[in-house]
Amino acid sequence: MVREAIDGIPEKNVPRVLWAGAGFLFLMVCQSGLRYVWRMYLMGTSHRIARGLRLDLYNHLQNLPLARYQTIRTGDLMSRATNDIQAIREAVGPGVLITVDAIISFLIFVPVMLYLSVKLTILALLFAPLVPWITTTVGDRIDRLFESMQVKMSNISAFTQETFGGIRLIKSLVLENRVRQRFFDLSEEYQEEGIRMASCEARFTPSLTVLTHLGLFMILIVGGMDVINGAITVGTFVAFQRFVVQLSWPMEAIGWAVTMSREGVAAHRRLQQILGIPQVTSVRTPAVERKEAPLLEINHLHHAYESNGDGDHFGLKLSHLKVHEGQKIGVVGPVGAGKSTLFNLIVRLYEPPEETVFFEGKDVASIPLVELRRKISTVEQQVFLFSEKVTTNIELGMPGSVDGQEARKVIRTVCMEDEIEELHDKYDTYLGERGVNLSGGQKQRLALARALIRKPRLLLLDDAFSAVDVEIERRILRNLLTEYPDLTLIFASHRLSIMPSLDEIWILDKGKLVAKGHHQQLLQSVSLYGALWQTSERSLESRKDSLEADSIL
Amino acid sequence: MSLRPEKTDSFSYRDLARHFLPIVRPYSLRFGAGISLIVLSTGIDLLTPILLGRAVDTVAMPSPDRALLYRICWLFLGLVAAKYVFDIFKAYLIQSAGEKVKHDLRTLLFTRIAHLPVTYFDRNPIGRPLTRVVNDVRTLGELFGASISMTVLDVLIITGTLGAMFWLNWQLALVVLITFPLIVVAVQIFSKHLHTAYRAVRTHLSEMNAFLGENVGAVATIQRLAAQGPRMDTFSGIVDKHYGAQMKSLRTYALMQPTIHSLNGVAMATLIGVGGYWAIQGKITLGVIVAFLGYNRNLFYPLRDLIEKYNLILNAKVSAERVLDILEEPVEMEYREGRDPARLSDIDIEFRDVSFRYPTRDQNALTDINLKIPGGSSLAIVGATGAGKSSLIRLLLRFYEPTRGTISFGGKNLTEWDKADLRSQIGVVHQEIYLFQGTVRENLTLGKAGFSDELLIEKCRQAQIWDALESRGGLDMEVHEGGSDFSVGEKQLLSFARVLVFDPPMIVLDEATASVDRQNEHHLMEAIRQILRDRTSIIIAHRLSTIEACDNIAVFEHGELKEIGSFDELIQKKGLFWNFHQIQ
Repeated sequence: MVREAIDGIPEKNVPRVLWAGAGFLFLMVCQSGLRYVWRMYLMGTSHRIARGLRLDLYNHLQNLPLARYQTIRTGDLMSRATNDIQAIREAVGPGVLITVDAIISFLIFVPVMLYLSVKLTILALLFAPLVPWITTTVGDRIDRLFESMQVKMSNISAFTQETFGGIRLIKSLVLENRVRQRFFDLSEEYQEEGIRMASCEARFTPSLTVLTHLGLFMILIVGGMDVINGAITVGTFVAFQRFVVQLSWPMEAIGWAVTMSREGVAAHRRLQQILGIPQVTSVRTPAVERKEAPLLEINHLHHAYESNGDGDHFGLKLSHLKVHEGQKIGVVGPVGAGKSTLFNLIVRLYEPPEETVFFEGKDVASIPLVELRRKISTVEQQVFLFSEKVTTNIELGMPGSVDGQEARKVIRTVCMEDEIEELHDKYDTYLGERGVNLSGGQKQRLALARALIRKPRLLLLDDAFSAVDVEIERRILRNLLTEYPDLTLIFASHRLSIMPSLDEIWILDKGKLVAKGHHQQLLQSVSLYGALWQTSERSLESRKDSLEADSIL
Repeated sequence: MSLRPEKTDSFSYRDLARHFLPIVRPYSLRFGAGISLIVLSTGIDLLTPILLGRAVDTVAMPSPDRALLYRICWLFLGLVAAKYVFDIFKAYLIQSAGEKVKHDLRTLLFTRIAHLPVTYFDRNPIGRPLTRVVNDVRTLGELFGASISMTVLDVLIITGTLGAMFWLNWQLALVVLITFPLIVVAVQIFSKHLHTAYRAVRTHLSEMNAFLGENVGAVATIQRLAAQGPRMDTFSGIVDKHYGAQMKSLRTYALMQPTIHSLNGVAMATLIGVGGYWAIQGKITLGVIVAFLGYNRNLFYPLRDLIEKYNLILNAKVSAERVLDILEEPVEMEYREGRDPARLSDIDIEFRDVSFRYPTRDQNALTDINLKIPGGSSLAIVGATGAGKSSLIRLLLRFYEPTRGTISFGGKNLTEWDKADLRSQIGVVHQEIYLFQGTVRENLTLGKAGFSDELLIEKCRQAQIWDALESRGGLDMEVHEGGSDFSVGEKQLLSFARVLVFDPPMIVLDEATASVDRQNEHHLMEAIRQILRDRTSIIIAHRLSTIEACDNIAVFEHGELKEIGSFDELIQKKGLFWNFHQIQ
């Protein structure tokens, strides 16, 4: 169209010039419309992909085996969930957009150019093959730098997360300046890499631009002479100048697209490292039901921790244990005896070997995880509450929402009714991050409420009252027994005052069962139990003391 | 929405400049040199269309001058070579300066946040300050890196092009620029919508990160409760909101681009039509049209770029505002030069009419506390949940300020003390322990040099934790984030060992041994008794053996101090404490 107009001028052909103008406008408007449609389509798709990746990644994370999960840093995961997904989105959105844009430009321009003049086309595109060469050599370096920058950003992110998470400890130890120095070092490492990246990228674009300019120079000198010699028209000469300029963007675009896709690939690789870790398998073995089985049975359960360095393995080694419906069992033993490990194995947070733990007569490995963990509730010692409403925290993990009646019932059981009524928005009160505005004892009681509302068949309490008043603990236990008389209970505790009233007590030490039996029996026959009981008795709290623990943080 | 929404104050551009210019200033030389190179490079960009137009006019002449064509060609080659060099240096200078600014800003921001009072962390989930330090700094960095050079470049090109067009032929320039006001209006309308849209995207992003930050850390709890499904529902709700906001901003943006493009089409068509007509009439030369075609490109595409950059600037403004919000938060740490603080073990601590209420609660946590702790003595605090024991300690560490009354150390009001002086002299063992990623050694020394391994091992032995460590790698054992490889009891012992290592003049034990089993605690008592000697100590405990070892006992109930005195005094008084003791 431009050529039409230019060539129309010397001919003094007014309609030809005006038609060319109108045609040009028409083409531009059409192009705009198409651009809108396909930008929406492509970029929209990239956003959808990012959305899908986010959901997939999160879902994957929360279904990873716990033992494996604990070796990955939270901040590192955060960085993958944010920065890397962003990089992938840019590769599939803007990256693809400009690639296709570039290809279309070439497909449109090159045939027209060839039609006008083969010689000038060759000259105009003489330097084009250098573009891929530049993008690959420089691109390789950019690729490496980008990956290392992402890793360094991950470190910054992880460290920041850790620091802010432990800010109270940092403050009470006056470590602010020390963490500042560490952060400074991390940030500086990132900066150094960033400057390397800057020097690399600085050469990238101008090198591509200069190729366009060289093409223009060739057209100018050769095309100019051709016009003088009458080989081509002035219109063709002008049109070719424009072609070279028009093609400069697609040529650069290829470079950008290469960079973005490289970054995207690198990010994708990092994401795959996480997504590649196998999730927990819900059902590991086919179900074989045994009749007349106790509620819980443990049979030759061996579990070894992964050893750190070349130290000894230590773990759990239990031969035969049975828990019948409605029984109340106590588990006693010093720190590191394996109580928490045992509980984690029962609910398969750590996977027990097959045919070693049976629940309702079935190997736990054959019970779908959701079912298993609905039927067996655990209250851990260190409670995690979400910074959401009290109700949300109570009904966490329940399908659908729980009716208020139920919630109030469990809250009554854990003796928290008054305390929740005192809160600003009662059941709708938001708990601060990690439930900061509740005391340690309150958190533990809320966690018990959270476990009870699920109406479990088996309740595992892992020193779940360590921060609760002895008086309140007693009331809660009384409530538990009257309101849930059929509930089967396994109760690990350092406080032994409850033990005399339990059906059976297991004594663990260094991962092995030392003895089991009734309180009186054990008191006479097992020296470890006797010693534990003595020290426990001596402490004020083993009686009715209501002098109690409250957490500072 | 699962989290309380975040509020951002709006700042004027002047406020922002006032705060951020000092951060950029050290690099003004780099930025200045970079911008000068942009000016040079842009000058060349403006000259080239003229050269190309001249080339066309030269060859279109009835008797073409080959020598002139050659001269034009060589001049062109020289100019583009120069531009090549300028471009490389300008990009390097500006981008590296951008990295340096980001580094400074990140460090400044991190330091600030680390020095914010505990109440800030009560109010904000970790994801929020994390987004500030990572994402917002990056957005701001983009502003100082690539965009600043692009913006300057675009503005230069636009003004230069306009000048050149009017200089060549002002009538044709006016005709071409008919659409210009339309574009400006369109940009303004779009940008307003975009601003809102981007703000929404940022808010939702921050919410998403906050959710991730919390839940990724709580996977054990989620699995225990089999709560993956409901958690996923909550997360996908947040992600969908973010996605919706992104699509909205995309739609606005996608609509803006073609509008500008079409308006450009109008300008080009007018140029071809009117310019061509005038050329036929002989009013202008063909070369002018060719130059104008080039200029048109120079004008509209930079304008489009400018709009894109404008978005970035809007984004950056949102980030800058959020960063400023934090920079304007009052910091808690005040540094004083040339201080020589008294040793806490030598001075008395006094609470006078102290009342305290948490900002988030309705009721007082402490009411009218009057209490004196003589230097070097030990005080046991007893009381039920909610009696105010922990609140008392939080006030002592100045995590919070009393609502009423004063706390003084050595007759000097707590507010006159440097928090660092104070806290560095107080060793605290909390009930909940935070361990850092690193080795056990690093967790014990907290990175401070000058502790021998023998000393560390001895302290671990005293704290009854060495047996558990030795088999797992000893001091070199790697601790994972949050200390997931230790039981709660082990963590408490480790934290106890840390206090022993640091040997501070004052010690606070807050239920420090709640999760330690009885046997270990028995041995630990020896260490505790030693610790009590020659220093001020406050111990929240419920074990009689611990309480008996203290000089004084304070009994709290419902936030009030009910009784205080030595063990014997309280027993004789036959009050609350006597009651407890009787029961026992």
